[in-house]
Amino acid sequence: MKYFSILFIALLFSSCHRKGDQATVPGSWDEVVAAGTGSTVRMMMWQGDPFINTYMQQYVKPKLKELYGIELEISSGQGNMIVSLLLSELEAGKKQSSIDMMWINGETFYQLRQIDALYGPFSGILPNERYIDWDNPYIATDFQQPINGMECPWGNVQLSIIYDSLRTPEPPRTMTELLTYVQAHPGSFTIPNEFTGMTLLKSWLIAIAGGDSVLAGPFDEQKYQHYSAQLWEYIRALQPYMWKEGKTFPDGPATMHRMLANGEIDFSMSNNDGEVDNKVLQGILPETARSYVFTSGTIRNSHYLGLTQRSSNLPGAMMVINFLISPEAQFEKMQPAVWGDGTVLRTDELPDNWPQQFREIPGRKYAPDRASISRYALMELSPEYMIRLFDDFRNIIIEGR
Amino acid sequence: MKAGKSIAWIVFVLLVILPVSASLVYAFLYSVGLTGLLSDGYTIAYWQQLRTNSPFFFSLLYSMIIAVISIGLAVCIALWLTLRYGTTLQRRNISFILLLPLGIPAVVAALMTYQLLSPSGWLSRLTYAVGLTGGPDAFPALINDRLAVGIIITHIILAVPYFTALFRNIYRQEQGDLLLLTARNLGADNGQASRTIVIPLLLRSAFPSVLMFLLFVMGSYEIPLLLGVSDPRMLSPLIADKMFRFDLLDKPLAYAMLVSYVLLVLLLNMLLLRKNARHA
Amino acid sequence: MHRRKTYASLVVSIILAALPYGILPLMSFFGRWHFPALLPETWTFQHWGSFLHSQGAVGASFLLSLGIATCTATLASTGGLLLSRAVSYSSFRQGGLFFSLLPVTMSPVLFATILLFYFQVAGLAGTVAGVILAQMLIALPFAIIYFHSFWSVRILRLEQLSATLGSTPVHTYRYIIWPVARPFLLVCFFQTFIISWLEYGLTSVIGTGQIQTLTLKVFLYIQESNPSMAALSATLLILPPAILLFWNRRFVFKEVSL
Repeated sequence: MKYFSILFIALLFSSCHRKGDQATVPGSWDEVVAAGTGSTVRMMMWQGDPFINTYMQQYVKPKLKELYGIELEISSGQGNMIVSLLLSELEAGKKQSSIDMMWINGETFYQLRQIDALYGPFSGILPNERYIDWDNPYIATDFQQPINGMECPWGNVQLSIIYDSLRTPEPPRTMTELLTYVQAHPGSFTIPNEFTGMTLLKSWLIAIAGGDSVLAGPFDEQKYQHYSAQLWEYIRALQPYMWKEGKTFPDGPATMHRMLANGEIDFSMSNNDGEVDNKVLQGILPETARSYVFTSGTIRNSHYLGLTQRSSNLPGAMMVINFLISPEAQFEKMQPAVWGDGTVLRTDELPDNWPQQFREIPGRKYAPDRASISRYALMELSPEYMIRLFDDFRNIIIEGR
Repeated sequence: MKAGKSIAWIVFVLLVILPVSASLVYAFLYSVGLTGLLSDGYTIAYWQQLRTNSPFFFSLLYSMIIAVISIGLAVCIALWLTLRYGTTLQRRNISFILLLPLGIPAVVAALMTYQLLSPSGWLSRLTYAVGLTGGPDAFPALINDRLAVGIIITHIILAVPYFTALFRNIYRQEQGDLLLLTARNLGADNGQASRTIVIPLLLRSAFPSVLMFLLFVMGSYEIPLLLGVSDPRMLSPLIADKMFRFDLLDKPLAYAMLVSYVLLVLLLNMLLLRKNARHA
Repeated sequence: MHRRKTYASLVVSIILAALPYGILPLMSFFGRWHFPALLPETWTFQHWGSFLHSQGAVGASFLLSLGIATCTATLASTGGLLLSRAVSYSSFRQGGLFFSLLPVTMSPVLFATILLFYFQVAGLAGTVAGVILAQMLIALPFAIIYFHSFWSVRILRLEQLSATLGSTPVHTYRYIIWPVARPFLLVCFFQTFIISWLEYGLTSVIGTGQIQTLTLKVFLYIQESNPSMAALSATLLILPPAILLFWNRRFVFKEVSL
């Protein structure tokens, strides 16, 4: 009995002790730097693109080490895997998460907030946050949710379609033209069964609904049913002429780029409008590759960085995020030869000669420049739309139920 | 010695019996809503969904058929190699090469099959070069196809070396040469002897291994992940997908599938043991 | 009696078996290789360069996989030898075998999925120790099953005879049992090493994508649609087992059986 109570008291103290260890964020930025310098930060991000991986491994990692002594450890995990990991950690009652920060997007943001796995608000603490273009609605809202400092914008992109100008001199620019095209060229078009593909479906859904404003705001079941029915009708019309007769779909843009290069399909796509430039430079796509957007519009969105609620190294992670939104890192990231990802900063209001440098970033050779496609940009929809589309795509189109 | 034995048993229970049993209990509780962050309380809705509105049973059937075809063909090929080239296989260097695939992981095997049989792979380029096909689209779909051709081929290549070695082993242990000789002396010809004596002998002794391999192929993960279609999916990719992807509310259903799968494997294991005990 | 055997099917089998060891290293030197070219437009050392270079993510994975596999194989083989003795000599033999069968016959990825919760609770998910333990939970039962045919009546008689002749248990094990067991142990080590070395699904689930073994790297490059790097990692992956097999070919060929 005596031993039991001693054990009980010891456990009580140890759990209190553990609580003290976790998630204490110093008040001022100087304290954050003091706590975070020289620490190890664990980040989870999508690692499906070699250029992005190179940017992180060969630019960001060494820079962080050099400037702050921070050791950045990157592990692979896309949106839903991150949510799944954090959910299972919460269910297991883990006091400290195995990751500190992650690269996320709309529907992941939504699900993470559902399970309260994000730490925040925090972006207000970061010094470089003042350079962010908060007036831009594409940055300040993520899938129709005001971000309220719970995640930090990292980059900005618009969905575009990639094709080979040699094989397809006149690509279809509307949904009707696409239908005509695939009927004339069966097997040339497909949609990847993941984030990028769903973004295209969302773009089409908005087009069917007649524009941005119709589906704006919170998820509306009736509107979804009404317009998605027309969307599935359209997809069903496309299906027999799609790659593999629409019976199976590729797992992502990377696979589709290779198929495009090998002549298996005529169209690939990417959430990043600058993708075609870095893929041509990498030798994956031929120099005759070009990209464009549908005149019915494609979705433009930002991607973000978030902190885990139960991270054991919030100061370090904050320093990493602060670096990633610095003019330096954003400038490097925007180079077509590096990543070609749009910046989230107000480039004209940056100090020193940054505005000049940003203006002089080599233009895109194979992709249209941002200005010309932004009039076709559409706002992201509420996350439930994505979740429903993903589900229904599997049920209705893939499994044919 | 007594103490040693008890320690051994304690370790056995801790490392072999406990993990799976405890996990099975948790999985079951989750599937009926008694645990889990987003659960609403006890419900049999997910088990009902499993029965009526999920791809589980079809996936199970699909996986079993693929397993039977793969192992069936692999066994035939292994028998052929053993009986026809028995003595040649004894040579160390030949046996070494033939056993090489044992050291190849599923991921690499899938990668190989992909590089060889994909519409823009080696075979397709060869047929294009000799004029048999007109391009990637003209090449038949051998991967990412419903008939799972690529998947079956990959599993066969991985299974044949094992069964060849196994048959060779059994043949030697049971003195197959002697049996064949005896049969021939009694008037049978080579074909008859093989068919009525050797092959049944090999198959009966190897049955536990065959059953085990069927289970392996049924539960295969990496190969269908890389070479399969979106629908139908084999069991492991299906369940892993449900568990870790997208809809958080699907987790109880995923756990229900897991529990069902484990029960099935336990059942087949009992069958395996019974047969093994008889022919050990 | 004419013996004109055609060796065609044997030759085909040999080619198929050795094919990966030819094609994969070859592809690791490919640069641009678009359809319908049979040979690549450019050859490059760039991929091997980045492997041997300081950045060495692939090199780190290689060493990590090596470490994990060695630990798992050592623990599982020795543990299996000892545990299977207790199981085989007891009356609960069939039960012991039954429980040992499940981790071995279950799909490793689903095995890991069902265990994940407890690994999270124990703080082992996403750690190297966790991955080793998880692989052990498969390799150990495998070893137990493997050795259960070793602890036969013959060995028991040997032990008893040795005891009757006045030997202590320690002496018996060191000079009588050990020499007999050694080849079996070697093969078991080889097989459990292979199980661990080639494992993907389990490592990916228990390691939550953070423990990047070589198999995970191959998968990553396949996802990236980077066939040359995938081929390079695959080459590194299949070489050690081939080497091990080469050294042990005497034993492996003899001992492969249930």
